[in-house]
Amino acid sequence: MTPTTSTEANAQPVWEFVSITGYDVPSAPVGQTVKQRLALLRHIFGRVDAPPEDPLKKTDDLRALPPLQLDRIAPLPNWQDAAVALDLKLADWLEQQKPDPWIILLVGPPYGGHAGILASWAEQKAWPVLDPPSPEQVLAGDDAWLSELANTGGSWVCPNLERAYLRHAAGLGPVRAFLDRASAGDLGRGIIGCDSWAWAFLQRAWRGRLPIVLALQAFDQARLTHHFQQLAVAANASELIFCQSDTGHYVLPPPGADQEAHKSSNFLQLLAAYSRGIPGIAWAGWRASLRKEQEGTQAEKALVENQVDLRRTIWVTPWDQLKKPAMPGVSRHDEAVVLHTLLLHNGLTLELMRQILPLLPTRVTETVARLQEAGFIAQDGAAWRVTPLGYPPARQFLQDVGYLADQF
Amino acid sequence: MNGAGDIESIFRNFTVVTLIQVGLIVAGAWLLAVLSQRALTWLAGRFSGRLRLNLLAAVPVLRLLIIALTLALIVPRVIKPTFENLVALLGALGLALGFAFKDYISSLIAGIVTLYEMPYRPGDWIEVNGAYGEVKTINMRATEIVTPDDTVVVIPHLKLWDQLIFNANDGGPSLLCVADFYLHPHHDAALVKHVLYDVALTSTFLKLGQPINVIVLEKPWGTHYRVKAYPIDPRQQFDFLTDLTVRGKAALISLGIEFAAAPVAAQFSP
Repeated sequence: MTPTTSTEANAQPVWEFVSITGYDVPSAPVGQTVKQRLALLRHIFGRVDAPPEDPLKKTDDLRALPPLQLDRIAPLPNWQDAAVALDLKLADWLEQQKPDPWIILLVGPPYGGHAGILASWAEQKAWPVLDPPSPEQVLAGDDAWLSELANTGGSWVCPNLERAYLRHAAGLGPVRAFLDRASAGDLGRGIIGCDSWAWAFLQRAWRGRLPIVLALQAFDQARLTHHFQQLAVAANASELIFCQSDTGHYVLPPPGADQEAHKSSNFLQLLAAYSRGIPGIAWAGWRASLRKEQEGTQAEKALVENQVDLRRTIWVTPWDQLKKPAMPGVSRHDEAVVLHTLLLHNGLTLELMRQILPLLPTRVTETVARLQEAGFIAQDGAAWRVTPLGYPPARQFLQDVGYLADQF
Repeated sequence: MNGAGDIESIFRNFTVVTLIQVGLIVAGAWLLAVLSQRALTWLAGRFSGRLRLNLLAAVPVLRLLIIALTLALIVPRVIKPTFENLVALLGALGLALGFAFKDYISSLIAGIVTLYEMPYRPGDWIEVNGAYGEVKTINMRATEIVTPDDTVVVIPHLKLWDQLIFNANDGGPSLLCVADFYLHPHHDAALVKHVLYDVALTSTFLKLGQPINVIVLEKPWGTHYRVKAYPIDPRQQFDFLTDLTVRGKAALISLGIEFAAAPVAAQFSP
């Protein structure tokens, strides 16, 4: 592969908003695609991949970074820069006295950050944020939550449209009424954020005039390189060197060195392809891959908080050796139903799953436990959500068995 | 004597080696056919959708190829493969078998036509003579289907000639299901139609993207609603219908809509 230079990385903005049809899913190298197919076949036939021989750094010699250090090297993305880019994209629409259309929709895949970006943008512009209705309100068809809009002065942001409906015979009324009124301009000028899976479903449940639909452009290798470098710089850890543990090739360009003279790893290209360009998933994969050398001395522990500790090589686990959730070879209906329902709602509580799924409550509990054990879902507060690293294989699985998937 | 001499001239001289060769070829072909059927069926069980159906459909085609190859290997070892010899042998065989195993041979031929015309394939849901089920295997003489009650029904290919064969999904993953609701005539039909549409739309078994239709028919005893929609997988058709019925009833009851009572068909006189 061609090494990515910082010039290339800087040539395109990290945060770019495009029409939903312009979303460009990063592709994996051809060799990797073949390897993935072979790995799938081996998985079907119950074979396990053997670890490679003679790596530069053995897995046993490395250990995961302490959470504190991990948070400093790869902190949660700050959505402010994305909000600024969104503001630029919306500039013309915002200047219109009587906008056409009245609403703009920002659609993002799970962990795509659409809610965070809109919350940050609303804060910058001092626009009111509309809280979604509770599940009880949704099922009762209660539209009292829309009364908040009466005091907004005609401009508002609704960052979580996926929370305004339930896939239940009584769960579609509020979202239809909201979209009808919003698209007709009855509620003034508004920006709606919606999860891509929920939007794929709502497009079949609501037949109104489609608004302008925007999406954050996928994070390809160049964007990921720039993004992770920015995160490290923001953490005052720019002296760190990120190398792939088996080959020693640079994953991020080394600071102050002639980048062309060094061999680059294709780790970030593989990460971009696996994560389908979704920043939250790439971020989770990046954090999961970072290792440091096994030392374990008291002095080492004392230096964890210190800048000195950050001036070390961070070893990046080779992509093939990174543990990722894998669906059992035999397709299971219960797993598919639970995963699809969780994705359509971007997470649900166990009680709600029992209420809306056509499975016995005990089967729901069993299936949730199986999926949790396999690493596909995890509890996020009261709600269960598909995990970042579990999302790509879950999406592939659902698509293979014929379920409706999103456009990302 | 001349006739006997002609028949002798058709066949090659049998030796033990020839017999062993023929035996090995037949055994090898049988083993290959069984293994390929098991392997493809096992592999199909690990996939869903069109890939599963394609793998299942490959089983009888592969077996036909194996049989053709076996015959191509055996015939030159048994007879002298000239045009005259083949015509004479096949004519004699046809005459003998035509009388003795007319139906059997007819089924075998219909089996070959089945592979060519494909009125059904493994994975299809068919109804023949009142038996409804999923085609599991297409053998040389008969097709085996498994009914929803887990009963295997063997249907000779012979039925292909003179019976109506109903194929619900015709080699594809789309199988239309119809859920019926019978309601008391006094209600808001537009509201009920809308509610039943949403019941189908929100079913987790629904294949989103395929059309949903709610048909309303007025009858002397009430109103008949037919909800037509497609499940994701044809094998889920009964779960889908159950889900539509359970949730449809719940939604209608919550609206206070009455169901039609069965008309009294007859009364006993004292």
